Amino acid sequence: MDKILPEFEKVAKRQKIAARESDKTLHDLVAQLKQARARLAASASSSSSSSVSASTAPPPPPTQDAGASADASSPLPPVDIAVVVAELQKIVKDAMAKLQEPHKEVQAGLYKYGRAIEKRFKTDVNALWDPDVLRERSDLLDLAIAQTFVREGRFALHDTFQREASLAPSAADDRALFEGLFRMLGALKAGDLEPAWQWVAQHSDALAALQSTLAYRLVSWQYMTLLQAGAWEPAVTYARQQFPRFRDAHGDAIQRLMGAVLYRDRLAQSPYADLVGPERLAQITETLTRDFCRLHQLPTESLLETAAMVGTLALPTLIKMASVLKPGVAWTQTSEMSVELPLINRVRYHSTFVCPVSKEQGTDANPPMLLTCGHMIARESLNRISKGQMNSKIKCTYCPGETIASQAQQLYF
Amino acid sequence: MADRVKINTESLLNIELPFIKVPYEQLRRLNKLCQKHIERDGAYLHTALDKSLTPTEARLADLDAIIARAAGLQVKLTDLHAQEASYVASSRARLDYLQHVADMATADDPRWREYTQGRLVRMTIDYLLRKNCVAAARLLAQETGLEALVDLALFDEMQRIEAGLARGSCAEGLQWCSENRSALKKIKSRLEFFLRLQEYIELIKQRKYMDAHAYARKWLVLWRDEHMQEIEHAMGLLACPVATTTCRLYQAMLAPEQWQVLRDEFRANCYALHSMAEQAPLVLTLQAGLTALKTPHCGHPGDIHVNCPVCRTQTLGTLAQRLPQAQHVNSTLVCRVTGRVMDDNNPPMVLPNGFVYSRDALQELAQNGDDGPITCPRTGAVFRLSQARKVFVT
Ligand SMILES: [Zn+2]
Ligand SMILES: [Zn+2]
Repeated sequence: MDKILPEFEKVAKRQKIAARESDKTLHDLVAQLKQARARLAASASSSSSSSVSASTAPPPPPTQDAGASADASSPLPPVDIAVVVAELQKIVKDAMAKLQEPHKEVQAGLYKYGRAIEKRFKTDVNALWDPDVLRERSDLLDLAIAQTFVREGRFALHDTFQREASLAPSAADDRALFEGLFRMLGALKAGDLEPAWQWVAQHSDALAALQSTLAYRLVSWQYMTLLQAGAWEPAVTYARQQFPRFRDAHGDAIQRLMGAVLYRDRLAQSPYADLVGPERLAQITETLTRDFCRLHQLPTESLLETAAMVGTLALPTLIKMASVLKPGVAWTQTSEMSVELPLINRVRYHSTFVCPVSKEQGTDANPPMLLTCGHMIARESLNRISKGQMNSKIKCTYCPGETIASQAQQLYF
Repeated sequence: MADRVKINTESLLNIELPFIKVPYEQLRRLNKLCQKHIERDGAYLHTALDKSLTPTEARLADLDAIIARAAGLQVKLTDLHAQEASYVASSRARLDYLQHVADMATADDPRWREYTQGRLVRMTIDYLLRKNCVAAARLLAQETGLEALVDLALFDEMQRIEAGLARGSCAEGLQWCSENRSALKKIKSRLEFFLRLQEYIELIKQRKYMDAHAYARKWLVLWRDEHMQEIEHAMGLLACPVATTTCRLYQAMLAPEQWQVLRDEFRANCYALHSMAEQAPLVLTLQAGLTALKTPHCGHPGDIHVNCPVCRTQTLGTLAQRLPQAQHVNSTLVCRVTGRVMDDNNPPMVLPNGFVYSRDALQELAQNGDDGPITCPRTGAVFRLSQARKVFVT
């Protein structure tokens, strides 16, 4: 980037100059042309014709209108037309040169900037493309995109996309569900907790099973809102009614909430400022969204976002791999990748067991087995080492421990 | 549990070429256009002055026309400069955007999430635009405030030219070719030839054989080195009964489907000119992501994870069917209760029935304190905490 930015700044500067200078040049040119016209018009004003002729005029060209040549002996113009024309030609010539120059400067700058761009960015991703993967299935991607719009509350966008791409109407219940969620969130943002309360009341058992903290968060937000509005007595009354049922799970936090009473008239400047801040509301929004999705067994994260993030992380490795592939062979045409793609722990959704002996991934047919020492090995490797003898002793590859083959236990992750 | 996975930012920025290239090519095109207008109008002014203001003749009306032309040039340049300024601004926004992430090192950098989220929006808009879902693309750009980072204007331009082709006009396409001549030469474009060929074929269809002949002599011959064969086929049309020909080759050349071929060719040229991938980067990125996520457990009843894109058989999971599964060199065990990767700090423990959970999870599951009974969440079997044994991950 360090090489590109200076080249770009040069282009930007020169473009500005070119715009300013050519505007001025043309402004001046027009002014000068008008001036010349005025002079010529003045000199011709005594003449009835719109044409100014020198006394030595040859017969008029045929295009000229009949009346124009009527009076060739009209008063001589006070300006020498030849001089004016020569002057104007020079003015135009100079102006054009003056116009070209800053544009040539921009052009030269763009050339260098272009070279810098090509030096900095140089990957052809077309080699990574396998058209077969999506063949006749692009509607599924469209559906995934449409669902993402719904879960982000972009309903108008969803409808526009559905119309433009002529998608089949998607599962209507998801749409209605999320409309409900975004109504609650909208109300929450506007300071109205009522819809959220109603939802919590409707699903209190299910939320309890999920160990949801939503009710507690709503109560404390309500309490802090009362306190901040100066209604400290109602706030305390409310706290006495509501907090006891959360004492087990949130005892310390509740103590802190009650402490805020001491600063009730200047909460924003107090050590309790975070309890009334926007981050707090954002947390409630997040908890509500999360619990809502959990309750309806919907993904709590955007699947498209996860796949795109992981894909972006993996692309550099794929590009490197594709650069050594035989032409015509797509990287997708295998059942297992030949290189490991980077993956972050947050998005590891399944356990992967790799047998330390065979280096193969465990499957239903070849599951992980636990040796008595606590190390793991794939069943096929175990069979190979024990030569199929169930009571033979096998030695662990990682420690001095020995296990009788029949005592190895299948593991379920 | 920090995700200290390294990011290859250098290589990632490499694939952002079109992001910078699109406004760059627009700047180049506009600069050329400015110069062309200056040249053309300058030449006009000179000849007009010569003609109308001979030393002996000065027609004020002609001078008025000259003044109008100069003022017109000013208006045109002002407009082009304003367009340039907008591409300078979007170039700057894009360079700043990349500069902001250029020194990311690991995936736990908060900028990583920001960058990948923004990249998804940009890729989605690109995907929508490529599908001609322009209104949806525009709306998404507005809602996310990323207008300067996406190529709405470029696709507007493409649609304008394709609309010309759709109604049987090559003029817009030819104009585009002339505005981008040097860049098209660099990518060895054949678009201009195909457009000329189509104009010739249209003359044949209208049975204007003399005009077609003259057109071919003027335009098609310019490509005789590269396209001799096509030119000869085209000339053959002069001797062919347009309405009744049974020759497959001539039928194909005369078919209205040629216009669709031209549209596809134009698209491909426009993408190549801006170093844009032939296919939507969104699809490519999702392919990579789904592969990296794909395990043998995905989609199996009992193993389905609600947040796993590959397990979502309704959409992304089906797209992942034709993709390879990820390779892993080491075992990584994920606790079914906490959803987190188990490590030395929170090791995997196996219950007597062979089911593995993290130590934290077992402690949480243990009712009434230290050795309370534990109910295996998957089988319902009941054990004591002390019966759990540690498993070593290698
Ligand atoms: Zn061992
Ligand atoms: Zn999965």
